[in-house]
Amino acid sequence: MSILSVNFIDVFYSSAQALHGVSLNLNKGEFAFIVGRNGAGKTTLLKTICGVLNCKNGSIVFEDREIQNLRPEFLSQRGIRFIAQERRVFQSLTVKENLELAAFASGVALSETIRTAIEIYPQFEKLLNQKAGKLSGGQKEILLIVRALTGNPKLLLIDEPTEGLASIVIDDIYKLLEKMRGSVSAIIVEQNLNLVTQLADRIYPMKEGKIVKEITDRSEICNVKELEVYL
Amino acid sequence: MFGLTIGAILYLVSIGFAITFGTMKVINFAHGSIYALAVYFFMTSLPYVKNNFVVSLLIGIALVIPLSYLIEKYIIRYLYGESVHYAIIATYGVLFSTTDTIKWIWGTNPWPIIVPTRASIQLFDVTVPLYRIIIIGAAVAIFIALHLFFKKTIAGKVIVAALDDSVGVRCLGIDQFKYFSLVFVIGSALAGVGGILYSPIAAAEPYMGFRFVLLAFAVTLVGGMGNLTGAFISAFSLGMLIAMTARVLPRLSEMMVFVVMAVVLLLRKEEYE
Ligand SMILES: Nc1ncnc2c1ncn2[C@@H]1O[C@H](COP(=O)(O)OP(=O)(O)OP(=O)(O)O)[C@@H](O)[C@H]1O
Ligand SMILES: [Mg+2]
Repeated sequence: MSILSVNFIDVFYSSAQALHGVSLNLNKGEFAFIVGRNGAGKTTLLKTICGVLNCKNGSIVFEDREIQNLRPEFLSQRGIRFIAQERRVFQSLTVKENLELAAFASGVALSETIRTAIEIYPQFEKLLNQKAGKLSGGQKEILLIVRALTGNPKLLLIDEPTEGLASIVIDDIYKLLEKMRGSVSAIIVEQNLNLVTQLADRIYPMKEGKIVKEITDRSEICNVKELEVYL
Repeated sequence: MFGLTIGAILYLVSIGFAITFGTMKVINFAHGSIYALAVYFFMTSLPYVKNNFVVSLLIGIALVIPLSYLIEKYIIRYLYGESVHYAIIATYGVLFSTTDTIKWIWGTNPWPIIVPTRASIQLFDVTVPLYRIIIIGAAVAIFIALHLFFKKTIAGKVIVAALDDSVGVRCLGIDQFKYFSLVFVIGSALAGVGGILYSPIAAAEPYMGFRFVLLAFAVTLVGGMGNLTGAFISAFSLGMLIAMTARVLPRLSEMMVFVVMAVVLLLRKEEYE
């Protein structure tokens, strides 16, 4: 059952076109991965789906309703959560306050959000009153994921969750993503192909603002060598 | 003591300007309109409430709150994320039109306003008018209240978070504009409070909004854009500076503020580039 379909969208930064007739599909519970070189348009695609950017042509259908060009605060309430590449937490607030805003936004009790956070990442217990800006890169990413998961969203859009992180932390993040499998759908931008093949239900390689292929076949997904040409 | 009073007033009128600047990156000269209008509403209502200062103050503030809400909703909101030039032009336009409206309704003559209390207090060997102490107390109280607002309330935290990562706030599903407009209205109300408290010392005239908004601009720049504690320190220091210059070179006292602003801007040049 389809949860999201993106149909032939064109996206512009003022007059420069960044996406050219991009389409993709995602079924409920699936993890789709987007791979591609720098500047291919991966971030632009996620930002357009979550409403941060508008598209000129085409449509985006989420749970059978057209959602293109709606505002991100509205789409977030509908269950679409975006985690940006820059990994910007609310740095002047504490870890707890970061969670508090997520809980507030979703109408969930703060205590419940804190409990989930600690369950996912036990070290948060000691870090609750620390400024989020002081967390390590991996901790920030996990905090952002916990924040985004608050209130049981339906679709996560995660932009390069492991970029620039040490391999131990990357493992943590992947275990976390693995645990989320089944309870949420996701589109993840990721350059580390070994990780992609572990989790992907489908892969969309991008190049110069276009999606060049749709890979759903299990044997093709596992063929890391073949995928390398897109990076 | 005069310096502290001026500092307190500067703080009250600047803080709203500083918050809008710091959080929403909008330079809001319409702040001067609210400041002036609050004073005119205040003095117009005085005779109707048996010259009760506090009641008139509340009336003045109550009347500028919806006005500032409309300014935010129909003008400022379109300026978020736009170049500051648009903001300056648009809000300066508002300031011009309200100044002319004031001239049209109330005329151009200054209106003296009586001081609500002539009582004074003996502090060591100087006699200090009670009214000035009230003004300073109000500024300090508002400073503390604003700190608590930004540190403890959810609305305050949303604003701080939006400063760090506005896309992040929106993607959590929080409508940040709702909170921006709340803060905008609070800031405007404070400008009104400052204007009204200052009016018995200065008298009301149509161009008061212009003068004060430029001072607020200077206080904000010197304090470090949108830095709340910075604005407090900067307001009081500049207030002292005005008072001291006034003693030696009365004509230059306000100009000194802009001299300091220019120096600070030169020193911080890189930060603003
Ligand atoms: N704010 C912007 N204004 C103008 N052009 C932009 C902007 N952001 C991105 N672009 C351009 O749009 C194209 C796609 O960029 P995008 O950030 O989506 O790429 P990406 O695939 O996420 O790259 P990376 O791997 O570096 O994150 C690039 O050519 C980029 O230069
Ligand atoms: Mg990117």
